[in-house]
Amino acid sequence: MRQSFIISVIAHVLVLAALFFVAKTVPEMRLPQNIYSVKIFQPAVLKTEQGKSGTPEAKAKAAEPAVPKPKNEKKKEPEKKPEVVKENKADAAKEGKGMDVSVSGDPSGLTSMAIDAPRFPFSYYLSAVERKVSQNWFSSESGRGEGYSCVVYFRLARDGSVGDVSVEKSSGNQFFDRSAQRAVRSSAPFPPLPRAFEDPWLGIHFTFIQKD
Amino acid sequence: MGFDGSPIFMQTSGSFAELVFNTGALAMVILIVLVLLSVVSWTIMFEKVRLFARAGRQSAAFLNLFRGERSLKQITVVAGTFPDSLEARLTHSLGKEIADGELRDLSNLDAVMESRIGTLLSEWESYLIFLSTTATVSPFLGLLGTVWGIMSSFMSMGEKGSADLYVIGPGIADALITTIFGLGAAIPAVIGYNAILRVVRRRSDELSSFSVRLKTRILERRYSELEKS
Repeated sequence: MRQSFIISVIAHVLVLAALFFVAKTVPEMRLPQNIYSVKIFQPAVLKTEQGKSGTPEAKAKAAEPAVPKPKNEKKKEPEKKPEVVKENKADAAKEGKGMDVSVSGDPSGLTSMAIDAPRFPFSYYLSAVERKVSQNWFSSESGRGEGYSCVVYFRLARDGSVGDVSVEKSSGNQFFDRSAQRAVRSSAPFPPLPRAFEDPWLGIHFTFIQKD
Repeated sequence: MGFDGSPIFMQTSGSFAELVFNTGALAMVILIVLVLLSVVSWTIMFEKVRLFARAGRQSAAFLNLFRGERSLKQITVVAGTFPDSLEARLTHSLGKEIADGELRDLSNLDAVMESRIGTLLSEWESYLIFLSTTATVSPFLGLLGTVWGIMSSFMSMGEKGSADLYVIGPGIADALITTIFGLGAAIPAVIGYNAILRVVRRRSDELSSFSVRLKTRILERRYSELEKS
């Protein structure tokens, strides 16, 4: 009886150990390094661009193309693009180590994001964040037609909560700035950060552009 | 883990261990009970398998001796050296009683044999009730843990006012772990129970056919005694 009991206990320990240390309930998500996803909204084009704009030569390249678009871009409604792309690049250049992520249009205007992390291959997460903020952004009527833009900086904690919301670059119109901050605040909580991303928080520079 | 201790906001790393250790108190108790049930039922299965293997070897050896030209007295003595074989035990106990003179009246030999066989088989079937109980109860225990976990998951969902997949996904995944353990304990127990029961049934048939041979042996001896006297 004792022998059988010992055999049984050993078998259980082995099975449980195998489950604990080998079995992954969630398969590891493998993302390719460069993702070019193109989404089309009604008025404007959304472009997700991922690259190592942190390196100097990428920065140099980023500074130069004001009108010439990267080859991965879709030919779609070009009239909106230049302004947006410029904004994006300037932001990334200022940040130095950050990278551009995406540009999108929504009924209230255009948004774009740059993030602090040097490498963040989770474009799906960023587009979720951007979608959420865009949906919650209702820009004030006061600034309509004047082409305002402002940059709001905020930090996302691992659990998706928002902290340190501040206006990094004011548009000059405080109502517009406030609407942008409100959009970020009311979008919280965001989905938790991807677990493969190890930093305690993710800094995001979110650019709001008033459509005219 | 959750940003305010609530289980629904936890970050899972996708490993099995994390699912197990993130469960609540009730689920933990259920998991422990299920593991214990499983350990005991596997112990019983191992024990039975080893007993049956020993008994099979001993019975084969004993039947060889039984077929040979030996007197009932000799066979009775030899049968004592095969403690696990049902045939040997039956022969040993009956032969001893006849030799000691406890069983004089052979007219009810059949009834005595039946009851002996019943005793021996019920010994072989001992603890099987535990296997069948484990097989029946552990899926329900696991289900209880899962329902409880999903219930609390929904409750926190209501508190947070959010039904995002990020929110409810981990909670429900966590709740399901008890069902996995319940099934993991039940499935081997069901298989083991059926297999063991089948072996016992087969042995019971073999034993009753052996009992006929033993009976003729005993009666032969009685006649030869009568003839002598």
